[in-house]
Amino acid sequence: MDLEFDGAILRIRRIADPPELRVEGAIDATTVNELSKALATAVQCGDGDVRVNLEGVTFVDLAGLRVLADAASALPEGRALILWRVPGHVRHLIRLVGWDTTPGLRLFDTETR
Amino acid sequence: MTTPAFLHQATLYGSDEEFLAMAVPFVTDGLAEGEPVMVTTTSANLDLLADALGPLGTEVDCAESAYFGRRTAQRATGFIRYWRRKAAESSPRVRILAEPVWSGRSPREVTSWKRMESALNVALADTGVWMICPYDTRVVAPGIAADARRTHPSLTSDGRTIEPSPDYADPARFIAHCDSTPLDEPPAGAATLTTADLPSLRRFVTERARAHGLTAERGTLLAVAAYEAAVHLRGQVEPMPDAPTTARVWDRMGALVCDLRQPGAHVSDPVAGFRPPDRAAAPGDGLWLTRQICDHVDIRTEGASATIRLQVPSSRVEDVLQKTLL
Repeated sequence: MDLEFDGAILRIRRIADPPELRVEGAIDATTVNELSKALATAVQCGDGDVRVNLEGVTFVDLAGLRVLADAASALPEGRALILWRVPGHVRHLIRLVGWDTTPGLRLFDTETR
Repeated sequence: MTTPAFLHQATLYGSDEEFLAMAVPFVTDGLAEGEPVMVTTTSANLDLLADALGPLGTEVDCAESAYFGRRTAQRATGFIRYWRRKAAESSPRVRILAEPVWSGRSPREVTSWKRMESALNVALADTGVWMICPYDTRVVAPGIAADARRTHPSLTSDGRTIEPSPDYADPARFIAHCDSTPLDEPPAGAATLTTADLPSLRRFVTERARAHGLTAERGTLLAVAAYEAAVHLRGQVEPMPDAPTTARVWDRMGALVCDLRQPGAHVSDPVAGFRPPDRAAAPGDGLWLTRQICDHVDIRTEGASATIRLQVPSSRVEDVLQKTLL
């Protein structure tokens, strides 16, 4: 397990097996760039879907939702950004803004394998 | 072909015949031109129109007004999304017949809907929407009908012609007038936090929401609304960018209220947050989230500070709706 980023309010860990990013804490103006970098690294390091476990996310703002949607849009055809264990508030917000239908983005409540 | 500009008209009608004399040509002309047509009005007017249109009526996108946008921010977003979707699929010109519900609304809600009517002139300015807003003079108060002439640049009685409204008011001035009444002072017992640290501010709001019985999810959504409002306020401060923000939270029957007050801030754009965000970031788009989450968003610049007041349903409202309605 690698620590991608460990700040006061956001922690991002890379889990090796099965591969996923585990995001915990608050995604806001002060931490969104770290999420963006971690997502870019995860995209570069593999050639399949990118899985992000959001179970520990306590807060996300509009900028954070945009970074998730942008990461999905940037993936080449055939690869997806899979958000799973998505907390109710994150799901509510991403649907509200309409980015849940972004091509390349998939949302799951629980286990997806 | 250039995209046609937003056309926003009011119709003041006093009978079923007058309603149909405007609505039928507006709808049938649109369908004949191949333009998408949406009608959102009262159930009585939907029935009248359905009878008058016959089989043609099945080509109309329609919804009772009460179900198309419970609050003004949702309704404005609904209009913009309808246009975006139809413009992408088929036609840059769409027609919308949009009659808000006025009966039984509190004075505050009436003001909110008037404000939206005026704000649409700005928020939809670059869309190809042709919108006619019917006002039923048998039902609406005279003041509401009079303001329809101030919030719509033009009038029509036949759904075809454009008569400039001599009373039309610039949206910024009209909305400033709507917002000229000061907000009530928060109650003395309101929980208060003054801080320049936004993570502390949103934790405070989340904790207060939980203490007032909101679910964890509702509490977090209120914190998101408050955070985006605070970011918006703090972005409007010229002389003192680091001045702390004061958050206050209190409850009243049916509602939880959250005030955010920012010294030195002046909120200049009265329609910020009415347009749904694009994937490219734009000023004020965080406030769109705030408006979607809350039942009421009141913005005031008074003296040397600006306040954004948010209101969400109380836990008892949520409880009644979720546990007994479904």
